[in-house]
Amino acid sequence: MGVLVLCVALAACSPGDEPSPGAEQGLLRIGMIPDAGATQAAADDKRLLQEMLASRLGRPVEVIVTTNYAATVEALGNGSVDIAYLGGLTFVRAHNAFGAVPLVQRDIDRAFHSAFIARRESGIDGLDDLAGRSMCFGDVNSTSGHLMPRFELDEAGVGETLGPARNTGSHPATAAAVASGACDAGVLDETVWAKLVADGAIDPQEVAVFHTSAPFADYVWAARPGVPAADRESFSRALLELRRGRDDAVLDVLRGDRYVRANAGDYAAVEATARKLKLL
Amino acid sequence: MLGALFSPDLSPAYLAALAGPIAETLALTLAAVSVAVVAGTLLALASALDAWPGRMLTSVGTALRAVPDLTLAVLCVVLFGLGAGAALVALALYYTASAAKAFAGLLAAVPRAPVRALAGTGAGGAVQALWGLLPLAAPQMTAYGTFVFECAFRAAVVVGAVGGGGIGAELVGSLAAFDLPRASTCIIVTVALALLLERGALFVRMHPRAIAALLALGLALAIAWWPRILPGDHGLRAASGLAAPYLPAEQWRALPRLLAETFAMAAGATLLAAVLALPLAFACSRTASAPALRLISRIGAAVLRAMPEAVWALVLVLWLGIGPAVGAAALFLHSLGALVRLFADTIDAAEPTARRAVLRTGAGRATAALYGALPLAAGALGTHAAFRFDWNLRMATVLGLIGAGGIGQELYEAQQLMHYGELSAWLLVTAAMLIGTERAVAALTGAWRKRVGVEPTRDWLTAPPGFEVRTRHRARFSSIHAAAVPSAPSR
Amino acid sequence: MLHVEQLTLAAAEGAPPLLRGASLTLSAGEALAITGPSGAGKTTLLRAIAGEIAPRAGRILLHGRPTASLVGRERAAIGFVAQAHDLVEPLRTDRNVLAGALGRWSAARALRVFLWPNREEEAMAEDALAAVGLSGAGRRRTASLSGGERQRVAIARALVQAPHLLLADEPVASLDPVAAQRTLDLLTSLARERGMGLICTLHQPDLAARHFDRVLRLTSAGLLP
Repeated sequence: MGVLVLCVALAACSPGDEPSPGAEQGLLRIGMIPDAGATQAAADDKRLLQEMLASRLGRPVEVIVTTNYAATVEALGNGSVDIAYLGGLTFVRAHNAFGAVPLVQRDIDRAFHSAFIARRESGIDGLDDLAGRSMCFGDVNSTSGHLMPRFELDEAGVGETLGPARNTGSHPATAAAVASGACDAGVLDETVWAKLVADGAIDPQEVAVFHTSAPFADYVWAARPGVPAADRESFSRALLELRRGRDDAVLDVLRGDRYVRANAGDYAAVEATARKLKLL
Repeated sequence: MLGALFSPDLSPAYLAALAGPIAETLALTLAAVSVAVVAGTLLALASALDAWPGRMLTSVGTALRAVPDLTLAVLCVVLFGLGAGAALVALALYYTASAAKAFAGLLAAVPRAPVRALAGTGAGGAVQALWGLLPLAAPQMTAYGTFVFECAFRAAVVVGAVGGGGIGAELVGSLAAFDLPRASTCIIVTVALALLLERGALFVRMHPRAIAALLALGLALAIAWWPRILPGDHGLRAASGLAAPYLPAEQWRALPRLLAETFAMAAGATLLAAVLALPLAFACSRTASAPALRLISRIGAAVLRAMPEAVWALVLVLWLGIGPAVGAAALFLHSLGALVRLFADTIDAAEPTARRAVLRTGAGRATAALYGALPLAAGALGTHAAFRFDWNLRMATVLGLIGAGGIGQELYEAQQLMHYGELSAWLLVTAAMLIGTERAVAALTGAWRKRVGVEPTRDWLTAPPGFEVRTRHRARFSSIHAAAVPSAPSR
Repeated sequence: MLHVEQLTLAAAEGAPPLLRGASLTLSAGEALAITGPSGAGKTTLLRAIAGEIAPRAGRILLHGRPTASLVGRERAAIGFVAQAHDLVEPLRTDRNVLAGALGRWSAARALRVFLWPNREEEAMAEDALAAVGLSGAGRRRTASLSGGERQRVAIARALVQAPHLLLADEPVASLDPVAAQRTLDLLTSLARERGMGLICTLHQPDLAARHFDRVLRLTSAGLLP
């Protein structure tokens, strides 16, 4: 009897009979890097995005948040997802490896910033104070959480003198590590920082931004080359048509106000930096 | 903030949302174990009957077992894409290798007269196996299979987190997103499931028919889920990168430090766990402890060991930050739970006459176990601790994947950066380290066995790592122990 | 000191009784031998006297109390030297001997003695070993001793326990004749010196007659002089 119940439960979630990705008007699989953490069952906010896309594209959409950045790139490369939300560095990686096609991005992504944070009582007020202090970065493939801050630290001449450094895996994890004292300082995506403060997850009286990075190009939605041009275009349009005042719920999930078309050429600086730091 | 961990999100909506991931993890475990049991049996039979591919495939399996299951899963995501399929392949491969080795040992211990008699009648190899070998080894193979199921469940939780599914992905995601109430719900669910499976394993062992049904269901699931070999050149590019292992000079220089970090993590955790497990084992023991104390300590140990090491590490990151200390603490907590149970069962299973004699002097139960059972069990306890070290070293490389330092972290970063040549170099280093340690531990325990010279408990001495013993089934299990790792000592 | 009244005993539930309506008394310092062929129920009788087997009928009283009611520390009043002498073989000899005192010690002291016995406790073990002629054997591993030596270690443990009643089940069964003589001499003289009641089971009537104050034969008809 128990076996029977299990059988039914499993039949309900077996993906065996799903259409293959990219099939005409079939399921569209969307991959997302876990820039703000990844859950499937609990992803109420991701459900909003999934519903919006499904209704605008007129086909079933599945949003998959992977547990790390690289997995999204691999998934886009081997066809487990059709379109992916990538960071700057992960986009360069996917573009170089298998020709991922840039689609759209938030206006803020063209000139994005990293927020360097520390506990107020730590006495860290600028990059110079980081010598010998421990530092938390996000995922090793994160542009705002690892690549660009690393570069900026090197430019400021503290890259060599930095104390122990670790990759926490996500932006919220970096904030938690700093708040709990596990790291003296940390660096993360400015929009995730703003959201953590707004949601009350972090007390700005205890942890504060002591430095904001120079601007760089970051997050972008990209398709694998096998996705038909028409599908890419309808996806792009769905995001480009989002408006404040009308689509606030979805825009809040995406932590943005307005979408613009993206261009692979904008990532030349990110690529050059990544090569310098041997991350490519 | 941490208080939130103690206020789980038990809202019906969330619990309902978890049903899918829970079913997925259970189904993944069942499918992988079914494939492993069936394929492992075939391999072991081929090897026992000296059929051609048996021995060769078994040695391939030995190499495979040296790659921790989570690492295999990471590789499978590269080659087979995201989703349950990749995790299924990884778990099935890893546990097929384990089962083939254990089953081959069990079959080797079966008396050969029936097979020779069948061969005399002119029966073919398959008939010999079906009539002469399998029936004799079946009870032990069943016991081992259910044990593998428990291990595979814990692995499936962790592997799911990489492969992109199941309760593990949910748990890792909640922790990373600071959703502590939901993370603690996932932890409670994981622990409860692990405890239920321990009970279920006992039930299944008593009811062989349930096994047939479960195997059929598992194989059906595996077929439904088996990943397509993905078209396109991505997997090919990854594979060709892996075929050319390469380490840059600075990594070579860091190698001794990384090895030391990994070893220190495993050794520190094992040592502390073994030392603390000894008194706690007395509290858990059926022969030494009072019922109330026993119940409390048994539950405590069960909870400690129900949480996979990697999940402990993720939770401890909130307290201890990141680095080898978290890894060591996570290994310590899980090992403590496992060793307490193992030590208690070993002490309870010691030859009872000596303990009875001590009881006759008017000694209390705990004192009688201390004087009358512990000395007899000492050799076995030492061996259990040694094998736990072997296991913890394996897990230390896995914990690197979540930022605990050592070899594992380098391996993980190479994979994350898609530096496939470096990735395969680190895989080779890991495999060499694990195989070398396995041999060294086997040689050491062999020497220790000779020195301690405890013949009555000899059959405990070859327990495979993590093989948890139930006294109720001691007769069966002890023969497994004797047989499961026959080739472990260095030849 | 020991009163056995109208005892009826069976080896197992439903089995025919080995013994029907047997009675005996034993006073302090008295050495009694019980002889009989193998399988007559000598071990069962000793275990019943020790309170480990409930009699089908009758009473077994030590100082007026049923022996079965002696639990925990009170059990120290009855010493038992089993046929297989039940020593903890991987343990050092002195720890085996000191195990006799566990009924008097707290768990904490038992743990400390197990790890680090002090001078007083070492002397206690040495005295008992000297009494059985094994002076200086305390530091040896019990497993390295001969059968006769192990038998004497078991007796030394019983001495440390200082019971009122010492039961010895076939203490010389596995010993050569010289060692057997010496062991029986040792047991009976210790019983007299220390005022212990002693009951030994033996299957050699000649040895019994030579060493013991009193000999009873266990037969299907009961305990006969």
